[in-house]
Amino acid sequence: MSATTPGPSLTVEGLTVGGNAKPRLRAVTLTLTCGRPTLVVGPNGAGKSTLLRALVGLDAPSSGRVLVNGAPLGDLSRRARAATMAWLPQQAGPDADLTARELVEAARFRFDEPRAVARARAERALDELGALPFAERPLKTLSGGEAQRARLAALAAQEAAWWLLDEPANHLDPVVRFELVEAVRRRAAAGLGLLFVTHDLTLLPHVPEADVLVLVGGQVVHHAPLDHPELPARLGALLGLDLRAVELDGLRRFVLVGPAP
Amino acid sequence: MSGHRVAGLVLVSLLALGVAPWLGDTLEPQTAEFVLLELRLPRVILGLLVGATLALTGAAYQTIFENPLASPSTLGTVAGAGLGALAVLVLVPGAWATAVALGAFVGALAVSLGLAALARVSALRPDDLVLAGVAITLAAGAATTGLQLQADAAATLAAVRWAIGSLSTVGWGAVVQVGPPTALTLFVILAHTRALHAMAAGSERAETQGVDTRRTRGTVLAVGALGVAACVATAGPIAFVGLLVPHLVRGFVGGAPRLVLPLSALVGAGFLPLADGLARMVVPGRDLPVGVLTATLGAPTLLWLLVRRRRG
Repeated sequence: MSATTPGPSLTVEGLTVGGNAKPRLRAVTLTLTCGRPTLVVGPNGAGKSTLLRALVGLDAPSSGRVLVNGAPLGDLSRRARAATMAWLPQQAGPDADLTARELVEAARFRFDEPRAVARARAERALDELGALPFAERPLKTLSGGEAQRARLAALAAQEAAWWLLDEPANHLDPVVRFELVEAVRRRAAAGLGLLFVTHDLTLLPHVPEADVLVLVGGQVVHHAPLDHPELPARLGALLGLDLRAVELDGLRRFVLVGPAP
Repeated sequence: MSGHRVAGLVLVSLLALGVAPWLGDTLEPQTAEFVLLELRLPRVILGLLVGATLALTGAAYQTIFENPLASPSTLGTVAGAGLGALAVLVLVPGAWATAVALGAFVGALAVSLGLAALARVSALRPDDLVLAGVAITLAAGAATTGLQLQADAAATLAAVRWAIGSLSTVGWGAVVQVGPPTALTLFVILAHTRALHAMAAGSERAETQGVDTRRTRGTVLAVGALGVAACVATAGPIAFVGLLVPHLVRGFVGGAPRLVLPLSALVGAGFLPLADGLARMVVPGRDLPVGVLTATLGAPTLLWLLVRRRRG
């Protein structure tokens, strides 16, 4: 992926995942453009994770389809999919015994390359995410923020056009959370496609120039730019919260006052 | 940092392999050549192949099942192979060694694929998987006992002795029989090292990184069953090697399959001939089956590992 050519668009057409009685996603249709971050919010069980899993091909749709630049996802080879999308799951999986460097090197699987090249690329990815100082330590010995940095470095090493992040900021203390969002925002500004699931509504304005996608009960109930003046009120109404926008030092920020009155 | 430890493991394994033929009763000048070339050397090579195969298969199973307690013994592969081999031995008196090995392969493959299907269909938790393996081992043990009762006294004695696990062999016949299938197993699993390394961080994540996890899992299970069956048909169910060696290796170099897989094969190749040599020396003049030694050493080591895991 070079900086000049835009990455592939992701399109979802009438996507339904799960059984007829209680589908996890219901006839979702949307198009995501590379270079325009999309922030995904919604209550627990709204289908946020399922949307990401269906996009990367882990959850098969019961109807509808996923298109990458107009081509059905199923027509792409595994390696071509891996070149399109890199996924950070909500639950990290059994990576505790791997060192940060081993985790990052594993993400080079899609490349047929000499080991020296894989090592050099892994080194660069670790450096970009500030994970070099703890590269030789197993993930189980790292702090939550350090481990997430290592996992993001693995995403960077995969060199995919898109990052699909499933609540990457969960369980992190506020300082680390903002650092992580800033690291992701910078890459999105440089042309990376970004789909970012979060529970923390106050984080949203920290990824400017983004769209907000709201899922409730497996359906898209809102999809509009972040800077829309009505957004906080609309989000609040959809999620049952009293969310307000304030202007602090010339920047728009969200304040979560409490449950909807 | 881990470079020294890798080099250390390699050195110790090669040393063990070099020492193994010289362990045992003192060599007499008249018989030394025969004892070394026709008895001990084939036995060391057999141990090398069996040790490498069991250890590598164990390490690979631990990755594909995302379970540190997975191994050919704990998942019932060894028991399945044993039952298959014995069934041919007892039901077809005087059967060819190849037929026995084939019976072992069918038994091992049936258990492996059955367990994999069970894990997929009912989404077994890692702990449940080992319990299922224990259940399979117990069931196979009962069937084995039942089969032995059908056999005559000589066959029963042979079966009991075989069930302990021994590398005792005369000449190169056993090596020739075990060589090709185990070599294939070692080669194919090691050729999947990159895919298995990616799967160590979770098979779904590996899938999105371009790994065909289903094919990798199926291939490892099939060639693992082949190699384990070849080992069990010839040497009997040698316990704990597939579980302990990968854990030993992990203790030195960490959890990355990129290192753990090849080093497990190597350490297994050095460990089993050495253990066999030491078993020869325990009771002078008597040939103690190596399976007794690995089980005696293995059981407490496993308990120690479990305790350490809880603390760590």
